[in-house]
Amino acid sequence: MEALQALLRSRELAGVAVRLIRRYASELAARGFASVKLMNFCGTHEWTTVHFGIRSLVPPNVELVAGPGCPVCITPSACVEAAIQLALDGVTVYTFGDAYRLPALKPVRGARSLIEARAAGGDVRVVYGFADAVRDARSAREAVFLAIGFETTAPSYALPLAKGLVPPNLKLITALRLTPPAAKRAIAAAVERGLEPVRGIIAPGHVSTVTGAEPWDRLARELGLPAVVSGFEPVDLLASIATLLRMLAEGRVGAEVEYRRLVTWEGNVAAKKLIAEVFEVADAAWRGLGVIPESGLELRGPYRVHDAWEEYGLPRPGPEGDMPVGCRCADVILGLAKPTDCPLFMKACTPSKPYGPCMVSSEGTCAIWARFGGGGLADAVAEALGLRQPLDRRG
Amino acid sequence: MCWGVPARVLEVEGFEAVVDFGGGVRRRVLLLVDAAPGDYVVVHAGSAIGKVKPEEALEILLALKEVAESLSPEAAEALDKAIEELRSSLAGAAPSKAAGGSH
Repeated sequence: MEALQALLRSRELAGVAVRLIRRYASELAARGFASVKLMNFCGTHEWTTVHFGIRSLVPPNVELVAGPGCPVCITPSACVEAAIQLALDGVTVYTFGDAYRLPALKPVRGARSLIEARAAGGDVRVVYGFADAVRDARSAREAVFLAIGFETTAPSYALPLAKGLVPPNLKLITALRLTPPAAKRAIAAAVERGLEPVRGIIAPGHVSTVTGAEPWDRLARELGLPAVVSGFEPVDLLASIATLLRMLAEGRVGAEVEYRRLVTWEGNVAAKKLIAEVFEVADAAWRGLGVIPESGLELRGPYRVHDAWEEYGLPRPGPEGDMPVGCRCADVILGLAKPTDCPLFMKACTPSKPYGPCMVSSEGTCAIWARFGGGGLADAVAEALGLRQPLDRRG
Repeated sequence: MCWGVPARVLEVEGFEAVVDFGGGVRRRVLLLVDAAPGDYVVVHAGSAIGKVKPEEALEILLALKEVAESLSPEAAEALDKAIEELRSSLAGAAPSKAAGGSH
């Protein structure tokens, strides 16, 4: 495994992939594609892009944009508010570390986040996975889990529920979301705003490990675009970009799988069965994006006894785009704005004092750019000094 | 959030497994795939969501090679070397797999 990772981070292989990218990009430029916008839908792809400096390796007519790919960022404020309220009412609240600091739009009895609810005396416990909460909840009286996540995370809830392992005192604040409908929304948003349209989909490798590549193929065909399901090493991503450009040059639509060491066409069939057993697809609210049809998972039938919304009569997330004033996170999530376009970025909003949701999670686009992107200074200076050189010699 | 980390399976008990992330980090995880001791899985949020098939990575390198030959001899050479390295590491994986399963 280490040997494989080293290969997929090697200068030689990255060089080959970059040369391929340049070849197809110039072919596309010659055919009048002034700009080719490719969108990713996974915070980890954005992490790889920024961490390994992938944007500096692609030619200027190829634009890499982050779309909705961070479950924490799009978790509606109502879910956080519900968790804070329950924590302050004496209910044990389990959460992933990423959502622990997530700010609610309005404070609940003075607490804006679960970390503040804990400081105010609430019993908030950060866990590594749902299974940890299942084990721990046997000792707690009333308990809820802030159940966020995409398709990747859904089976981790579904397995213990389907096997009857979850104690009756443990309920879920369900906030599970599905990625293809949000991808569709983001791709449509660019067109609605009159921005450069998205020309290709970098599909999320770990979501697809569960769902398979098939849903991305269906979406790509519906939209007349190419999609490549990509892995997360730099060579994975570069090879996926090269394949997308090649597909564009050849006029191909539909999905291909680059991340074949993990992703199949049909995905993890057992995990998909568990999800279908426990959850049903429902319209769902996304923070900043409003309600997207058939984009969420809610507990079905007998599993509703674990539904915290019903148990505690909590107000469910509505259609309002619940972003704090001045925050451009909604546009950042949709790939309509870069973090550096936001006037608050690295000023009123930093990783140590996040103002908007995209700065909270380690997978949020703003947090990734803040940690590894240098706040845009390097790019601005490089552009001003004309340092963005062609890269032929490095291949 | 959809971060996945590869780990080696040490023990399987029903739908749980003990996995080794390397560097002495071991954890009990939910098993959402058929995996045996010695297999590599990707772990996300406390669950093994997929089994890694490293030999499939070869396919990508071979596909890259197909086009790299038209790019430059150096590019094709770099790929040949990478393919060779991966093949030998895959061949070498078999005995260590057995060793992994024995303890």
